[in-house]
Amino acid sequence: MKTATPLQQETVSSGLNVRQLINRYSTLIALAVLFIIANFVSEYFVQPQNLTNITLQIAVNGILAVGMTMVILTGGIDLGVGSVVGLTGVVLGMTQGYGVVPAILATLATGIIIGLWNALFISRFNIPPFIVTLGMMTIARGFALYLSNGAAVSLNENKFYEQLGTGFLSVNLSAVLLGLIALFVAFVGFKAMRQKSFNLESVISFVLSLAGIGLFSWAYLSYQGVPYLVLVFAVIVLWGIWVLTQTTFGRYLYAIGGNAKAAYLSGVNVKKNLVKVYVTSSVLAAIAGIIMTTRVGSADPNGGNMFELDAVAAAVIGGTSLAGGFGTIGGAMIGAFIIGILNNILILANVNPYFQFIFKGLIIIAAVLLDMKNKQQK
Amino acid sequence: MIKLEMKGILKEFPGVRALNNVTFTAERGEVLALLGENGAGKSTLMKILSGVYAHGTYEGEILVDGQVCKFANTREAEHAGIAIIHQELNLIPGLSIAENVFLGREPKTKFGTIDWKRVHRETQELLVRLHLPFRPTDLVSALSVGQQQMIEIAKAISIKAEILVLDEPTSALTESEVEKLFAIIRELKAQNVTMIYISHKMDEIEAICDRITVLRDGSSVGSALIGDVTRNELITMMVGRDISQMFPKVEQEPGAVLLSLQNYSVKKSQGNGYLLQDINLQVRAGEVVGLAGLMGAGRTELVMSLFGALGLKSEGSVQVSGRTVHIQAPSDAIREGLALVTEDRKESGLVLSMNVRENTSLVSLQSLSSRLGKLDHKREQALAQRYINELRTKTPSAEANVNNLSGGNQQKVVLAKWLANNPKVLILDEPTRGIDVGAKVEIYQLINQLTAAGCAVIMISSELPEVLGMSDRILVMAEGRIAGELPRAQATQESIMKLATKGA
Repeated sequence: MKTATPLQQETVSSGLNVRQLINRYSTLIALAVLFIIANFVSEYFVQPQNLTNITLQIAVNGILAVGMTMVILTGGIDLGVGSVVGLTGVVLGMTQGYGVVPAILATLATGIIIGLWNALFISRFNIPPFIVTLGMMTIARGFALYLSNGAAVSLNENKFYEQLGTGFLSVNLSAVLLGLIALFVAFVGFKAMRQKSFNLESVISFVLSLAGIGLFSWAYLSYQGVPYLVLVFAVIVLWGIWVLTQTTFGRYLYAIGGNAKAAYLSGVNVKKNLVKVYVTSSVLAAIAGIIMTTRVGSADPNGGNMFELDAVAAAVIGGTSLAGGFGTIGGAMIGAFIIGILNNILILANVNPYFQFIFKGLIIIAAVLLDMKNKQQK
Repeated sequence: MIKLEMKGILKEFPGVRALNNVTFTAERGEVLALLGENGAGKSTLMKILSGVYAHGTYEGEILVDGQVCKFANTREAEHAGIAIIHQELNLIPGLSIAENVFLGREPKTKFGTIDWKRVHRETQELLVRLHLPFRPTDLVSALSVGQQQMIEIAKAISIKAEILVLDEPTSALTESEVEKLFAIIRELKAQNVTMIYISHKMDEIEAICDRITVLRDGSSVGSALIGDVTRNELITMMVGRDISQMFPKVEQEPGAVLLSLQNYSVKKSQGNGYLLQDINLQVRAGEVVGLAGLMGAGRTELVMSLFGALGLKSEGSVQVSGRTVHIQAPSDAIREGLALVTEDRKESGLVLSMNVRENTSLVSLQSLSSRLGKLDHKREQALAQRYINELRTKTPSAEANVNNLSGGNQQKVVLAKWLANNPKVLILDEPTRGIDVGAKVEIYQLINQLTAAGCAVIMISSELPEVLGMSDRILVMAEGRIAGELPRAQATQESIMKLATKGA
């Protein structure tokens, strides 16, 4: 192999040609195409209310996908999250009499205990995560049904839950918040652009991120403001991105998934980090459970059924490798949006709802196929 | 008579020309050594020959027996009688020997089921012919790497290969296995099989090859009969410059004892026997202690156990800088100032999915981040760049994936990872395995720099010239014990081998 001189490297990085760009951003482009198609399918699609609704619908899957991406990065999987959403919803419903804070703490504690249980069998007894969490999928569901006697538990009238599930930050405050976010993104994006001497790639990502913020700002501000639930979702996503890109914990997740043995021999405490990641995933599932319950106003013990598969799908569509070592939260969010928008279009187009499953399946396969082809070309 | 001819081969990867107009011939029944530094293009050339890179993805032509061949895949190359035994073995561990030998070309009965009788009979014949004491039904996973390699050769023989490529075949073999391999090569040669032998080990090449062809930077540099060139001439051909001194050993005045083991023993995970028994050793600052011995003598087990990576309880005491330590995991060892470059960099040294920067910082990540675990990216980048410069790692940038680097440069990244943590005791397990001559010398020079800076080095190596060339003292291991110690002045290949085979 010949070594590229620094000079050659310079031209390579700034001269990313159009085809390479298309390859690298194929899922983002797919999302954009889907967005344009959606406009043709129904003029209702770009209405502020619909766009607001889409983000509300995506929130639960998006939160689960953050945890799922982290788990999959280590080469594992967490199939229990859907049932945990159901169980934690029931726990919230059943403990609501003790007050908001105790109920939420009890719900989060449920998530922590489940995560520790998973981690115990995975990291201490070396049982494959697939098996341990498959077991948890049934165990958590069983507890949800047992505790609720199989019936939905409705939430009593409570200002906090109502606001969290269905409330909006006032339009004025939303405008301030979104303005600040736009400024922040513009600032960070401009710095990144300057660092990469304004190459095509950096300019495109700068324009795209501002366009995305602009679109949703418009939607929220011309409707009722930013939903509280979306705020929670956004905070979790930003936290997830921060963990993976800025912390040692995030780096260790990539290292463990890439080569657990090398990571261990480099002093990485593999077991401890696995415990952390499975607890994270279950706690995020508990938060998703709280959000879903407050949004609907009642906890269905069957709630969250198959949500784990949507979370895996979002991660995988977003380029996360099931073998571990590769993947980003940003990618998983694009995946979650693709799934969410697809569902929305199919509903708007009055397609038989059962087709949603078929389309989702086809998209997952197509996304991975595309991803593999891109990697081969590299 | 010319058996194989490759003419004007040109192969490009994105951004790199791997082969530039390479021409290459091999006679019938000849053992041809293909030499070159890592990254010179040997593997690429052999992948073209064996159909891994299909016809059309490269320029130039391949002639076998004067016939132009256009292989679309490896199967077509096999049909033309070309078999390749890769450095990384291609056997399926969960299948039996017989199943592996006949994989993909199982003979059928008239009912269309697999003719197991024939499979087992023919495999048995092959095993007998190669003097291998296995049954066809034995699982491949139960064999050592060396034994698995013999099975690969059996497979090649069974497809009646007329051209056999051996890529670094001895890198994981014991002395006696190498002898066995050479006997088989001679036997195949007598049957007019043409062999292309890729290796970095000059002794082996002189022992078994007839002719040498050298590649450098993707071009053919030249070809010569074994007796016609000296070793130094060959190295100059490969590296393109004169390496006057292969082992640039600089002796240091030894300082304080940095690592000391007393009656260190480790029981086997099963049964009552000892994996390691009564090991006593001391390493001083500025010293290189060579650890020699045959495969399975317990050298790797010793350093792995010392590093807390073996998962077995140890007896006796370990002292680092005069203080007794209890190391139960690699993280403990690292805290005590030990560093371990493992023998297999791809399997346990590098995280191949990460880039040079991320691999370099892996051990010292905590010191590059705040107490809450927030990474300092600027310091991390500076660290990676510093070691790229200091070790002269050839990489497009710190952000390049380590998977794309050559073996020598990958090893430099592993070394950088450990040096970044300023170790007191650096343990090197086969530090130059599969690395080209130029990079080897650079690693030796690095060892000199480290000992000059007061580092203690333990070096395991199966290459005796390396052990002799670089060690201040040599400890020879046999059957889990220290069989003896030789000071630099008294050590010879013979004295080491005598100790290594003691009691065996």
